[in-house]
Amino acid sequence: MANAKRIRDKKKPFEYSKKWSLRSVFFLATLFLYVPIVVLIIFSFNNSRRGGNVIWKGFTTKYYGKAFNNDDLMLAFGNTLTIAVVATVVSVILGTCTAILLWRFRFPFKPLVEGLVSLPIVIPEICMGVSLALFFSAIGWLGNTSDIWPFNLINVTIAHITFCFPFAAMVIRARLHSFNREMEEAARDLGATEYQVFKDILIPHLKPGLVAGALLSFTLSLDDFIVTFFTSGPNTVTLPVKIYSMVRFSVTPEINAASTVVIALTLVLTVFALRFQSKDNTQLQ
Amino acid sequence: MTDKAIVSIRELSKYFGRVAALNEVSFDIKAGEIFALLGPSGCGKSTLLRILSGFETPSSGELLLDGKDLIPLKPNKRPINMVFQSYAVFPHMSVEENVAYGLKVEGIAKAEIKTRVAQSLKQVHLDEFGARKPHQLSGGQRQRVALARVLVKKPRLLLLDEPLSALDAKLRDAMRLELVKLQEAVGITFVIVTHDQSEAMAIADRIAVLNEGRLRQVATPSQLYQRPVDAFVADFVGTIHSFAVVSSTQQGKDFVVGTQELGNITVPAAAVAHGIYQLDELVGNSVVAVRPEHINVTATQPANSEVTLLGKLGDIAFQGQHSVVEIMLDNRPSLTAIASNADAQALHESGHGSTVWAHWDTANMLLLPNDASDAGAVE
Ligand SMILES: Nc1ncnc2c1ncn2[C@@H]1O[C@H](COP(=O)(O)OP(=O)(O)OP(=O)(O)O)[C@@H](O)[C@H]1O
Ligand SMILES: [Mg+2]
Repeated sequence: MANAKRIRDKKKPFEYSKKWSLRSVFFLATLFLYVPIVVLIIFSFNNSRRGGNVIWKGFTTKYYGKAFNNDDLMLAFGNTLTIAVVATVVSVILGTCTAILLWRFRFPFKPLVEGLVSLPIVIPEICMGVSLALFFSAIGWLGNTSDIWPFNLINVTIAHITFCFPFAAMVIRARLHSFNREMEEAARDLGATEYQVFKDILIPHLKPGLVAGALLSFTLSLDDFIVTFFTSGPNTVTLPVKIYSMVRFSVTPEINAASTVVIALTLVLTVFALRFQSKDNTQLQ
Repeated sequence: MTDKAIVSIRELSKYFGRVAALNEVSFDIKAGEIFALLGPSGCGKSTLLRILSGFETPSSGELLLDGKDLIPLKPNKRPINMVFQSYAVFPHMSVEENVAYGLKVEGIAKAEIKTRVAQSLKQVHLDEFGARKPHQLSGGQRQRVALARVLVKKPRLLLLDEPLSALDAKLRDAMRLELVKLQEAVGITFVIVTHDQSEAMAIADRIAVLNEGRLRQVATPSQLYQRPVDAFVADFVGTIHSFAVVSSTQQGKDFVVGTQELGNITVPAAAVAHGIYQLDELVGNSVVAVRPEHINVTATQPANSEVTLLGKLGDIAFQGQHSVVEIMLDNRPSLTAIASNADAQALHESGHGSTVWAHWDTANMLLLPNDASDAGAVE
């Protein structure tokens, strides 16, 4: 009898959505996660001089124009994109090499190396920032490494690679686990050299992992504040750092506009990557 | 088929740590034949295949292809190709690209690749499927892709690791026939690994039986069945009922061996496995054995059979062309006999548990050592 009662009490998956407690948690989570973003986007079109103004004064796109004509902001935006692109490419290459090294080979102190690779993931970012700043100042690279763009971005880019590549390596390594070694042997058997196996068999298998790793690296680099703050100089400001310094003077709709552009950019990239991956998921393992 | 050896394997051993996956194995594979490697799980079949394809290096021994040492050659430099157990069809390439891959890496001209791929796909009846991706194919079709992919390379030797084990029973039977036909058409030497004796018997020209890394016998399917070298091989290639030898003497050329269940049996010299022990070593090391198709079962006492055993009628299993009759014995595992369906029906009417006689002629019995490699004689 007791058993039967328990079975009857059991809820079907969708019935949980009818519980008011769960509904309110869901509602609150959505509220705090997305409402600020939506508000930010809406008020980037607000015809008011103060971005912090929550009174709607009419629709305008003039702050987008203003943002695009703000040379400092545009320089920061260009810096951010340049750093993110370079850091992503280098991180994915380094991450792939590291993942393959850890997957394929046995060597002394392997667990130590594995630990060191994932260390930047767990170290508090503030510590990373301070240590990188100290390091760059010790070798005289802090602030200005060069007067010519984009070489002046080298130190910030290197700093970004240090925290992006462990994530890329992690994602790619996870993908490597599903690789069937018989595929490699089959290719070798058919006459492929080691390099041909890598290029024709392994890389195509890794593609979803490479895309995920690249996307992760790109977004991490794009919105990084702390490490950049510690390592950049006056001419190598990135968008997050620039926005921060602008906010300290006054919040203008220009900032809303710049932020909206960044959000749109990441959204487009994410959608692109998701579509790419869902196409790849039709592969059989 | 010629008698020329294409592959010579000489005292080949492979150790994984202290485990001998292969232990001093020697035999030849002849040009143009279908050669099967048969044995229970873990006997070293795959290891031998991987040594042939170059993915494992033997610990000792020689391996020759057309008289030339094969061991120093890397897998991609050997004129040997393999169909993997998982087929290992490249998922991101179309069927055509899969088949073309082996030629592409060889650096063959595009036009030639195209014609050879088309021809190879036709051979395996996949000419309509060239543009498909592997995930759009059935298991059987995927296997054909794996086959086409290696056939297109025109290898000296084609290795197949359990090629039929992933297919369902019906498809497996069809593929068996097709493999044999394909081999006849292309004339390439096939080496097939299997742990299914009926598959090996049906496909192969010759079979090597392996157990625990050691070669037990190399022979044609019928030799293997009728003249096994020892009790292991006899049992592995088909049901056989054996009786331990407890005493032995010799009468002229024939052996007279004593058993618990059957008393003294005179085994004609012709039925004594080659390489049997000395007479005084037979006791405790050998058996006399008989196959089910040689056992007769009757409800009445037979008049003139050389060996008779009294038992009780067990289950009768109808198998289509014939039936299998079980005879339960008092203090040993039951026997099975093959009977015509009419005889089985007659027995069935006398009822389960009724007294029956199992009888056969000693000329149909084999005197076999338990383990021929202990007796120091293989082949
Ligand atoms: N890479 C390896 N490392 C250690 N031991 C191995 C390795 N490969 C095979 N072995 C061992 O060698 C023996 C033979 O293995 P093998 O794979 O050749 O057997 P098999 O006859 O193909 O069996 P199955 O029918 O199950 O595939 C087994 O005991 C196995 O555990
Ligand atoms: Mg195997």
